[in-house]
Amino acid sequence: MSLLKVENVTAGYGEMDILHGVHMELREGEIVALIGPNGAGKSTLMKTIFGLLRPRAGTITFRGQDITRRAPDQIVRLGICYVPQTDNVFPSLTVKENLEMGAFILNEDLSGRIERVYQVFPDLERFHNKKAGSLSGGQRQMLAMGRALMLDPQVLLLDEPSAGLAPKLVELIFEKIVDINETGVSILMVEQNAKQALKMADRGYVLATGRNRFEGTGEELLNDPQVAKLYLGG
Amino acid sequence: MAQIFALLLMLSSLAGLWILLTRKSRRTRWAALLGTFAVWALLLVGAQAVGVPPDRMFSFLSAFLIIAGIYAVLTLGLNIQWGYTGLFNIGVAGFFGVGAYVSTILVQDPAKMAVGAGLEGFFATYFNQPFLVGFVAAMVASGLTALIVGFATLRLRADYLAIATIGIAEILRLIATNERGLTEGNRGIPNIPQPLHECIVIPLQESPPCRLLGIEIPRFLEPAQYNWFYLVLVLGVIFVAFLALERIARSPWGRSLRAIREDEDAALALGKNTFRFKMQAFVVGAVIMGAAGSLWAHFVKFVDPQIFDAISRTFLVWVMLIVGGTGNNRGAILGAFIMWGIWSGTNFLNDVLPPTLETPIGRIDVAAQLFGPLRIMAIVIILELILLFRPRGLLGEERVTSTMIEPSAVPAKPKAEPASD
Amino acid sequence: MRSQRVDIVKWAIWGVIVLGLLWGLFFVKNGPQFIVSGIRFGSILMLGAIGLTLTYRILNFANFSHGDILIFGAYVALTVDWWLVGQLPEWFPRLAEADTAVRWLAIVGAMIVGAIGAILIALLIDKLIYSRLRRSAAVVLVIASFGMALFLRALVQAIWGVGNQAYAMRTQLPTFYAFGDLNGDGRFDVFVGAMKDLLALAGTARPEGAVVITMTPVQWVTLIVSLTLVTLLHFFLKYTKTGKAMRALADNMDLARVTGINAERIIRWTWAIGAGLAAIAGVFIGLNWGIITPNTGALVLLSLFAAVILGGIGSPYGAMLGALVIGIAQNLLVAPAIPQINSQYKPAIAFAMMIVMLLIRPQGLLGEAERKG
Repeated sequence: MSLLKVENVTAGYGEMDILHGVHMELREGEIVALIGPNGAGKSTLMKTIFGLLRPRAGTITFRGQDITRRAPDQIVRLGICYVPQTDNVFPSLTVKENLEMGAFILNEDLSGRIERVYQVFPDLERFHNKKAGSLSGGQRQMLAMGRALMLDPQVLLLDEPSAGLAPKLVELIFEKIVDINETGVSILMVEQNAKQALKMADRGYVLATGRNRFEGTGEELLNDPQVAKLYLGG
Repeated sequence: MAQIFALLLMLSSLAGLWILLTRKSRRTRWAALLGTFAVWALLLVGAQAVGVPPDRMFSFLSAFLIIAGIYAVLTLGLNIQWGYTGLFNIGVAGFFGVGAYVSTILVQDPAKMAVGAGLEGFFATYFNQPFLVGFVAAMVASGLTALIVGFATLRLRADYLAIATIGIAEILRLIATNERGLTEGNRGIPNIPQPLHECIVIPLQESPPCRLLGIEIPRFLEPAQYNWFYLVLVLGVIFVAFLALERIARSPWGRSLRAIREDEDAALALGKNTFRFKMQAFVVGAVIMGAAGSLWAHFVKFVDPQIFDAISRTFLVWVMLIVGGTGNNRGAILGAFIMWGIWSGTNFLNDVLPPTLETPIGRIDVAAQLFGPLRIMAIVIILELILLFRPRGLLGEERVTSTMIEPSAVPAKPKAEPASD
Repeated sequence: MRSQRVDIVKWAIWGVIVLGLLWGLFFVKNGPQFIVSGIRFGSILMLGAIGLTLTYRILNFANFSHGDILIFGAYVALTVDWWLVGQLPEWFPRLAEADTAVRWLAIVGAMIVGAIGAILIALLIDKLIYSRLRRSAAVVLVIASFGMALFLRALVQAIWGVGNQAYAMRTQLPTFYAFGDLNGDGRFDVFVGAMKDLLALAGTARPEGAVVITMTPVQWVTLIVSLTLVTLLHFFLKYTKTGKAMRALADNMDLARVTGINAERIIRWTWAIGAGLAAIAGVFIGLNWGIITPNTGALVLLSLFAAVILGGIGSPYGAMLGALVIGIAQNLLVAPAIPQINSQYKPAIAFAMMIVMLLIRPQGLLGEAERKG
């Protein structure tokens, strides 16, 4: 069943359009990878879905409900969480406080939820009371994802989760993403590491200059000679 | 009756100035100038017809134009700092006041302040120099003040400059109030000499002829006409400052300043020494403000610590610049005249309003307690409305482009459309 | 290499502060008394500086109307104070005999109402003006706040007049606290007494080396209430959900919104805390200086900015530290240590310290680097 659907969306900054009639679909339980060259509009699409940018045309629906012009905090309440690419933790807050902020909209005891996040990311528990600003890049990324998990979201939007990480950590992060997906969270991710992303994704979309270029299952795209030549580095 | 004629004189001057500054055609400008003179003449004749002496009208008109003109100089000084470079100076009063005090102390004649002249208890030192020395020293002193403030804050975020400038104005006011050996404190310095006054105004008693650079100058002005001479002086200063600033705006230096204002990091990345550029603009602006201070002191012939008043010397100047259009020298001048018109024009209201008001919390003296604050509140509301709804001011910023670029090749500035969240 | 050099500067500043304190304690006549007064003034400045630094950090602009919000609250409290002094004995006839108690009760009530008044006006200004300018450049907000400062000052003048005004609280005799070898028997004594004993002690009997500190009840209350409020604020920021969200917003407003934090609600909290504490500071200024005028706020603002910059702009703990340093320096340097400095120059001392700090370490003692050009 279609969970999140983007139809014909045009959006951009100022008077400049970045996206020109893009469509995309995320089904229940899937991992979908958005790939494409720099400036293709991948991050812009993600921001538009999350309500940080207002689309000039097109519709975005979640479980059949129109969410095109909703503000981010309303979208969070629907169960969609977003992890930005950079500056995605609060540096002067501790790890625990960062996680608490993830569930700001809930008025309940959060220890159970925090416990569950620590089960997914055992590393974080060790740094429990450490300021997020003193964490390493990989730890920050895990913290950001953990914070997004605090609300038990149905959809997780990940903007380049592997950006700037060492190869070993990239693998770890991808493993975690699969783990999270297996708990029933559908994931839409933007990735520069296109090959690795497509390997684990159920389906993928290739964007270029703000338009859909290719789509298919991860495997199809990996084996497509044109995609390989243009976007996977041969 | 006299007030109505005065108001009309003021309005006709403003209308003439508006056309003079906003129209490009030379013919229209001449017509505006001559038309304004014609309207003045008509008004004066009319005034005389209903029994208002023209002398009174003349002195009102000249005082209005001189003070508005001094404000125009101040506003031009702020324009190079804020309008061109984006330097946030909210201590205009400080630079203005330094100019006024330095010029006064240098030019004042000690004989006028001596015991026996009816001014017992004054004990500061004065230097009896010509006006020109005081005028130049005022500019230098104001520029030096800017150098000190700028050195501490121009490398930092804009807010620090704002804090430091408002601070320096306050400290200078404290010094002027407390250092009586320098400034006479709260009593102020009266009887400040006016430039060339004793040389060109026909004295009451016979006195020896006045020589300037060896040339004997004939005395040709009645005392009441001296203001017209002073007006010419003020207009001359405006003209020089205006031409200089216009040249700067079109020079590579002026373009660098704008680049810093729009995006300092980008200017820095292009290899511009932004600190030096900002410092130069800040000092030039302060020098112009110092000149305005000197002109003020020698026109009103009195200074006291009130000269550092944040409302009429800083805030009003800001409103003048923002109303006229930041970055636009013509707008700065126009804004100064219009806002001074509104500011001084509202004085008439004082005669219309009842002197006291009975309220549930007691009797209120309208003139003393209510009028001044209400006027400030009204001006603030004008400012906030402009900030909210018309941030570019009346004239907006002139498009200054290099002569190397065809005007049509410059794209219109894209309007930002932020997401609503 | 560079960070090491900056650290040396930081330790040098700490060194100067410690040396200054030691000098004040041991080499200035009545130094301990002036340091205690300095701590008292510093604790008042703290209350004002916290709001300034919070709005700077969260809304990213220097709020020039903060001093005038402070004085507005102080004037609201003034009206309530005198009204309560008149009304309380009528409501509770038993209080008619206890004049001092009435005045204390009145000032407590006045402080609360003054704080509420300041909070309401701050929220109103935010709603009408600042909230519409959230996405404008910081400098536009600063112009707007400068305008609002003059507006509020004019409003205060229009309602309450330009003259000096005082609260109903009466001046009370100080208690003195004496430490040292008071009896000349080679033993350390601690002595607490009333004013007339102090006069005797100050006259002939006061031995060399004895330290005497006097405090009136109002001064004690100022010190204790200010420090209590600051401590409460610390716990609020550290342990409550709203306090944590406030720090999160200060770190990264965009991320906070993405996380689902209701930014506008937290901003309203920020204004409320800043304005409420400022109003209480305003009342304490009136009680400790004896008078307030509509210009008091603008004058205090300079010291508040100096405190904020000294500690590091944007850091609440920095503002507290800066306020303490400024308060002590102002009280120590003016009359006792350097008699040539007129006490009118207290704001100038704060200003000079601020300029020196900007020159040698613009990020302040506890702030993060933010240097351009």
